[in-house]
Amino acid sequence: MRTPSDSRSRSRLWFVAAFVALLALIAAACGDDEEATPAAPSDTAATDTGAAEPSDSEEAPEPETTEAPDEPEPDEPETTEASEPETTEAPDEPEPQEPAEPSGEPVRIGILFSNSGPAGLFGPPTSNIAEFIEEDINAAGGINGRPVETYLADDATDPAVGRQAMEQLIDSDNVDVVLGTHSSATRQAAKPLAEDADVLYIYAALYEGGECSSVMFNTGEVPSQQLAPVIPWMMEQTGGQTWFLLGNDYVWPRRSFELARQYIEAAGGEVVGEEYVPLGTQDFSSVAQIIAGSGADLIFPALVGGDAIAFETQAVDFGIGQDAIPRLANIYEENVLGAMGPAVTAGMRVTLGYFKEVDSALNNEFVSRYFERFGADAPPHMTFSSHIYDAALLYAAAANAAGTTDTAAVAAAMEGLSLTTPTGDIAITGSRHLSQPIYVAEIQADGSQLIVQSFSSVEPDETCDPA
Amino acid sequence: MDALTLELLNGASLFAILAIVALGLGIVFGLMGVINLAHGEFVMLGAYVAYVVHTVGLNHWLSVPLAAVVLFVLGVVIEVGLIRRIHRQPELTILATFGLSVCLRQVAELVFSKDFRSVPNPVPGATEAFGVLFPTYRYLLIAIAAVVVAATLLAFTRSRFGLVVRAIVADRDLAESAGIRTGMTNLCAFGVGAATAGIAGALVAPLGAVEPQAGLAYLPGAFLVVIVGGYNRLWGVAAGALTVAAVQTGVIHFYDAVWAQIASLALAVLVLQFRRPTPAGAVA
Repeated sequence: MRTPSDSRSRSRLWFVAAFVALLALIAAACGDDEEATPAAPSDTAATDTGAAEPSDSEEAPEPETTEAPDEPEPDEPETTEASEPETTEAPDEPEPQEPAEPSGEPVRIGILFSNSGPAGLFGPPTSNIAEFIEEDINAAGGINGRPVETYLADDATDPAVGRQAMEQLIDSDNVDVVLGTHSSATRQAAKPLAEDADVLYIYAALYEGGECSSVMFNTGEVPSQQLAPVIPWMMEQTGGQTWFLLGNDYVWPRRSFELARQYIEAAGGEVVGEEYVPLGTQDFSSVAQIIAGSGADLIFPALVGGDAIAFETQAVDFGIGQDAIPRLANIYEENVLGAMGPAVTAGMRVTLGYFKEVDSALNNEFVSRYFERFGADAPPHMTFSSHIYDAALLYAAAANAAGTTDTAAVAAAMEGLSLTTPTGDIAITGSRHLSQPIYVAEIQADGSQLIVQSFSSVEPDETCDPA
Repeated sequence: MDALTLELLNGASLFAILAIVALGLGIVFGLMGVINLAHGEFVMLGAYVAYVVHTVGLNHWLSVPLAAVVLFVLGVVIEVGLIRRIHRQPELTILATFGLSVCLRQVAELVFSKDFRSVPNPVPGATEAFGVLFPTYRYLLIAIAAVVVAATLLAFTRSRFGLVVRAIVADRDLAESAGIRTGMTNLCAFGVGAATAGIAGALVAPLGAVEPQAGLAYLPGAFLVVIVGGYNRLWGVAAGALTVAAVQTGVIHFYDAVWAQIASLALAVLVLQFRRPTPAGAVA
């Protein structure tokens, strides 16, 4: 190669641009194919967060489509509901008389979620559940006689993108409410937009607590709910007294451990070690040695995603696996546990507000419908998607009670509202959080989750007075 | 005493991981002046090779040479299709390889889905040596990484190929005038860089999650090693990995993992302050 002339370097630039664009196009085309298979073609305006995307190729194949409730499902010939979904698919409305079919201007429900980036893993169950939200609320008569439509927007696990996605939902899609399941960082970035536009914002992901705003409700699990009843139970079950707390270094693990310390000491136990590792930690050899030297009876790991998998798979070889030191985890969910494998996870206990194994008629029907619709190997319905579903039902109930979608009126109707959903009995508290059941699952030798303990109507230890 | 032995072994395994992950980045940066932001994705793809080898029921160790071959081929294709056209303009290589990294992540997601995958440890458990128990897999990891890194560095410094490489790095135009085929050398350098990333991916796969985003976690560490070790000597990769591993392990032992990360980054800043500035690609 010789010294590049101006024109040659320009042509190279074009070649590179074309090459990257081609790759992006291929990725996008493949993505469309894949995502179109389980879902019916979209007929409402999808939330095309074009402006909000960090890079087009990453976002292009996202299933940001919303569906009309009466769309038949061509993939499911054996389900009897397929022919008339709008009359038979509401699990909580089994009575034969049919509610009046909703009509008129739709109520728009925005869903802000992570469908790409590190938390993108949790996206697919949520976009699946968006279909059920439309179907079930419309089958029950809609909101004030109007049908509902869902609009999905991806925050790419990035607060800056999340803020743009919120802007898209509010300004372009004109949503009446935003349901969120994403990081606290995205919530902090997106909240001011909801406040300025006076749009109700229901944050449904488990989080560290402490949120309080006139337009917000927070229906996810907070640490006081996940830990207060479960820590004493865990110590009783295992006979362990001393704990090691190992978390990623950000606000949620730190807040969880602050509370865990109180509950452990109140139960007569002791914290013998508390360590934080940066997000994205790959090597846990030195941390494993610290834990082994601490003499702890129990480990409370608040690690997320790949960090959790790296820690647990490495811990076994360092002699501090679940067999040696039992775990109580507050975020290990099916994907992460599945990747660790049953040899690593068998015996671990996990405390969350929902598992698909919750044994109630309502939930069993809901879960079997989920897997019938989206396939047996669909990304499993889990606590994040379940809380989004509950948030939508809570909003619909409150808006129906208020007789309007006006934010202040619906917010007033939200307080004290209680429902029974596949999750269990839930109720909005005066602190704008959710009183909800907490379940403890124990991982079995085959990797399945068995609910070994449940606590009903656990109150969050939160205070909020936005006025 | 036992605690010290264990920390030395921990440091050695961290050194091995850092060195093998950073090796390809150092080669491509040092020899070609190309800042390859897709290097982490090469590591991620190497881990997926190990995952595929596991799913079809073959022995894990087979994935190490296989990942090297697969990533070498991919590296050659990328060099011909993309890097060759822009490698003299560092700002373009940054943009192009960033775009490439996004594409590779997306392709991995389409092929393997977003789900976390894992590769079981082929030699579970620990071995007793030097009076302590230490995971068997990590002993093997240290050995293999040491062999691969040493062999690659020797090939690039002591062989006739290494002489050609140094001639090109010293003065590309003069080398071309002397009849050296620089294009072919670049092709080899990029292919070998990708192949070592593939080996790294296959080796670390049993230690953590295999997922499309996995490469993002490896890239900062690899850059840290290259910055600390210096890109003007290939042996700098080994020196950089050793320094970073020592700092990390030491600080975690005496303070904690968060301070260890801060200390390694501070180390990079310090090193840059006191190093004589050399242009990228100026390998001695």
